[in-house]
Amino acid sequence: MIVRIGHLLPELMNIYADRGNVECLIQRCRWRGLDAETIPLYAGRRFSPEEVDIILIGGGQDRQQVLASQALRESTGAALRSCVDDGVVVLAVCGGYQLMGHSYRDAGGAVLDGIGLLDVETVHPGHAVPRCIGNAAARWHEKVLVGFENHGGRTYLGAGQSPLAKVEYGHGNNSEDGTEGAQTGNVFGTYLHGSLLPKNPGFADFLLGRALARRGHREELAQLDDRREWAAHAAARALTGWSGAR
Amino acid sequence: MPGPRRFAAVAAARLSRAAVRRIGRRGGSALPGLVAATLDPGLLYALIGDLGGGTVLVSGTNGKTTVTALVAEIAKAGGDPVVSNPSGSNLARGLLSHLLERVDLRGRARWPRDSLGVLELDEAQLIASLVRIGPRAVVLTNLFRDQLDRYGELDALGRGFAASLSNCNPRPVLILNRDDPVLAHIGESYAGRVVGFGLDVSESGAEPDEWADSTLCPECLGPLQYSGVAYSHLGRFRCPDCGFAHRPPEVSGKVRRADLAGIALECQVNGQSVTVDSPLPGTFNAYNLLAGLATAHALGYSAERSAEVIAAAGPRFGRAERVELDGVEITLLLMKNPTGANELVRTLPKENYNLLVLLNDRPADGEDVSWIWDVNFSAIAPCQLVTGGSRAADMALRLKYAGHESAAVAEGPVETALNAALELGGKRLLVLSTYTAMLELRRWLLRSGAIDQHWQAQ
Repeated sequence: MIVRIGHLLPELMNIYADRGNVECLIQRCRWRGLDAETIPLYAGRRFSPEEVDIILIGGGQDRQQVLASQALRESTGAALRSCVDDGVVVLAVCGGYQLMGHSYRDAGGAVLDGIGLLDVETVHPGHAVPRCIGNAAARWHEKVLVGFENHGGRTYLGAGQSPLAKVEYGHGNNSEDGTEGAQTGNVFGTYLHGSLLPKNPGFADFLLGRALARRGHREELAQLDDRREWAAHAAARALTGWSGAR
Repeated sequence: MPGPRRFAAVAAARLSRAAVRRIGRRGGSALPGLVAATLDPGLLYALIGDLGGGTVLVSGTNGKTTVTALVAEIAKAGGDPVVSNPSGSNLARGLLSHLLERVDLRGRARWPRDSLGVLELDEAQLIASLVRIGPRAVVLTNLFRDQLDRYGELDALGRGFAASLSNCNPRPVLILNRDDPVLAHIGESYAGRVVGFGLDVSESGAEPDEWADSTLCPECLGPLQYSGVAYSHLGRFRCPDCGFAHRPPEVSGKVRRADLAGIALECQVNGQSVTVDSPLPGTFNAYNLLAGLATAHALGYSAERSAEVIAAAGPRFGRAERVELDGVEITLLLMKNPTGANELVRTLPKENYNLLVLLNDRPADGEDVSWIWDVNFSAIAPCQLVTGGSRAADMALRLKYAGHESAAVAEGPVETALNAALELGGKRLLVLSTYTAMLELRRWLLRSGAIDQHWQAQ
């Protein structure tokens, strides 16, 4: 079996080294003896749920984000929607997360359409308000996700929308309500980069497990030697005021 | 005549400098400049106005320090007195602190009246100060993604450069990298004189590497096509959608050799051939040499003499400096951002060395260390590795995913990591390091006598 990692709009949305998330998933498959490949899903490219197992989308610059929004209104968006309907796992980070919501209102008041896979809206409060920048930690079920956030927009969850995690340190969605990211079914949005997955191996394997389950692969993922991963996790978490053992 | 405000600002700056030195910090702190600018916000511009030979401003993501040094050397060799700032003081307050060391008690410049200013400026600082400085020439080396928490985005930076340049009167000569699409685009609409530089890439690969920052057209955002690439997104590009395209540069170079030991470059300066052999390493430095030659040409210095000066110029702070410690040759390589680091990784030899990688996350390094995932560390040939610095664990993790699982992690001060790397044995150690870790390492090497030349802490 080959695990197929789709990198959505890599030519537009590639600003925060989200390549690390792709690299992480590929290697964690290979270390377990599973073949894995990256499929770049450029704007305008048609793809079907049979071609991908996990889709990743990262953050982009302002003008690129406009083009990404446009692509999501066209064939790329239709393809993504059919993948999500079929249970493909989607991880959207930062600008990509914003585009998974309904809309993004920029600092000048212009509104950019999102694809609406997550019931969230993002508003940029203007350049006079400081960006949300810094090391961050968030509680995800009984575990902790660590990363770095850097976003001007504030994201607000719709009434029924569940967050991905709860802010332990940092700003999260909006610096106000203590939520971080959003999750609906197999669609995950977050502001955490760093890259996120390499130093949160539990979350990486959780996404991988969900993707493999969709392919009928139900046995538990083999344990890997994750000492390096947890050491980096602990070092990043120490920067958020945490001290103590994992 | 300097007024009382300038007098007070200079006096306060002197007091704060004395205070900083008393508490044991050597070299150019930014505090005197900050104090002086608070009392007299116009002081920096007044002092720059005292540079009778005019000012050359050097900016861009990579190469600022090297190009500034080359241009300063060329001007000195041409008989002109030069005022220049050292690396690291490229923000307004640091620059002012540095200039204040060269004024008298009454705030009058002690440099010769006809001095030429050759000043390195941070990209955002260039945009903020360009119109008030009113330079003779502006040199733009390249635009790569740097520390995003500080600079914002490439596109926005390019537009900022273009807007502030168009507000200058008179218009400075613009010396720019014609192989960088965003910079070339600025040159297209610039109403003043443009001297472009670039590499002849007719014999190189035609695909921008997958680690490149930006291969979209700055005019219409369509994908650019390349018929040759020097590295990253620098090369001979063309936009099939809107027709925006690379133009032949006024100063061009063909790389005959570019490795860790140096560069051999055949150059054409407005039709005249000159050859440059430089001890600076790698293709990225070939661009710096060309920027130096192009600026010399724009300012009217002879190309042959400039090539001689460039050939004699050694590496600057942390740019492939070689030092020796206990019989081991140590080469210091500064990595500031993904593009620079990718080029360094590509320049590394294939065998017979150990490698120390130091990753710090202080503000001057970038607090967000994500960028290491945009560096193709899998291009490093198998060797013995040690990681150090405040984010040694992140670095080791990055290396693991790049196929170097066995890197040793040395937490704590950088000398601990250096010693761990030296204990591996071997005659040759390469050090890839971020800025503040490099400062710490050099300070330690200085104390231990491995570096004996005069060096100012920054």
